[in-house]
Amino acid sequence: MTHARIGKKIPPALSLEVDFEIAGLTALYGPKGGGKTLILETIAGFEKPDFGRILLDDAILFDAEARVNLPPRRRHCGYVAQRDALFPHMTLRRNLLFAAHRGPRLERSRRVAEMLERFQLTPVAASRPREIEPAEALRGAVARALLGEPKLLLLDDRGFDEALLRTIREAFPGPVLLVTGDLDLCCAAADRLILIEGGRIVQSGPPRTVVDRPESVDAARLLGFSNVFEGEIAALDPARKSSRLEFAGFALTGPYIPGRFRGSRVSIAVHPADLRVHSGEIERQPNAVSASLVRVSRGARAARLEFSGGIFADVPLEELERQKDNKSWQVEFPQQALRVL
Amino acid sequence: MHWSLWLVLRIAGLATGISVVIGLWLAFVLTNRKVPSDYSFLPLQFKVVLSNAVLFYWLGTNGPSGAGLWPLTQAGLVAAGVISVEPLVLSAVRSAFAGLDPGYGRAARSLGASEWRVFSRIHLPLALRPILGNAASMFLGVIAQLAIVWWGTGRISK
Repeated sequence: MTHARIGKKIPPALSLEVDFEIAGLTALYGPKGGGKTLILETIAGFEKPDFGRILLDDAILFDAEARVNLPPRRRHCGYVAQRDALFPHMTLRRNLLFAAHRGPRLERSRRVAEMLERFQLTPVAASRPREIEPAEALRGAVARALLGEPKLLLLDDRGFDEALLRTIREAFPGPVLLVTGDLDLCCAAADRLILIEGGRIVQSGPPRTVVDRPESVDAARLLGFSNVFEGEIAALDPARKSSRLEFAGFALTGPYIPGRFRGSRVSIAVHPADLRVHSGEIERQPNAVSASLVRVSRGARAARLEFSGGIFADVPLEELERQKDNKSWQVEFPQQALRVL
Repeated sequence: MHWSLWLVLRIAGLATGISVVIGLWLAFVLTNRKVPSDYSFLPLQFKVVLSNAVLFYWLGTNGPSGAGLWPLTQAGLVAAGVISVEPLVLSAVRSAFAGLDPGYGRAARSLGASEWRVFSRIHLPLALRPILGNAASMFLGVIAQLAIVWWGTGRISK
């Protein structure tokens, strides 16, 4: 089992307290300054936690109570830092040979050549790090980390993509802990997703589940659910599997909420991409709310519309073009898009 | 003892070389212990005390041939040179190491490298240039100090 329970205070900015297992490719996702990099550094052994216990393959790397704190070189953690750390005075091949220092010389060269080939670095093997592309430097750093024969791979946010992660997992069967700010990458490549904010785990689980079903207001906000409203359950209908929810200024039909009573407070979250907007002049749509448009910000493919009452909707640019002459608006909340927190 | 340019260069070279070796060793020892680098300037005070003492004995009434604290031998002069430049070399070496990106050391350690391997293969080659530049100026410094003794001996006594 590979497991980390880490507590560390860095006053005044951060108080880190996390407890999680690392299995397969585990992704840490969250805003900057939330302690993700610090987690990697404590596991690699560069920062000492105040309390906790770190296990790698059932071997203890750190235990505050038993006063065990292995130095980084004995932890068998492959570490790819956020900043490029290929040794600048060595060629890429020498960098890799530095990592493969155990074993007979011929065997070392063979392993290095194999790794260069696997990460498509053979053409730049004789170049110094400053002469190669950032993407090649990243692949070089990964190849070097893997040649150190790690039992756990720690990857900090360096612009990893799905293809590179696939190559890594073909070359390395062990657990990988990835720090990333790319939610799409988490869904595409990770086995587990851990949301981290302010040094705490907000939610964890299979990426699809976490992304679809945020459990708290914090998780919803981290996952881009810009619409979070607090309201009251006005009615519950188990037969129709629906509920009537009342918020400040509007009411919606929501999914049935088991385990809650009429009159209890409830928060719901809706992703802006799940909302639909219509002209206010046409017939009132089911579960729609009339609202006035406050602001439009156009992105590359979609525009974000901000309505009165703090409602945000993402609309494809062509859809916005079609509705640009609307004098008034209504925003439709599809029932299945409502997430009860 | 014959004063010649060659002798002065040799003494200065030896003193600088020994200082650099000691400086590297001390820097290696100190980086792995938590000694604040501020204290590395402390030995600078010895230099003043020692050079005064040396000058008094050599240029005092006893003269260079008299029995002083330091006999005026090559070894004695090298020792004096080492003592006078060592603190400067050490602080220069330490600041050269401190200026390195800590990421290189971390990467090397996580690859299983021992402290000695990190020092000799990563930190030393990366910091070599500033260290050598500093050693060159220390070399000139020792020559300057020897020049005082060289020109001073035999002229000031009486």
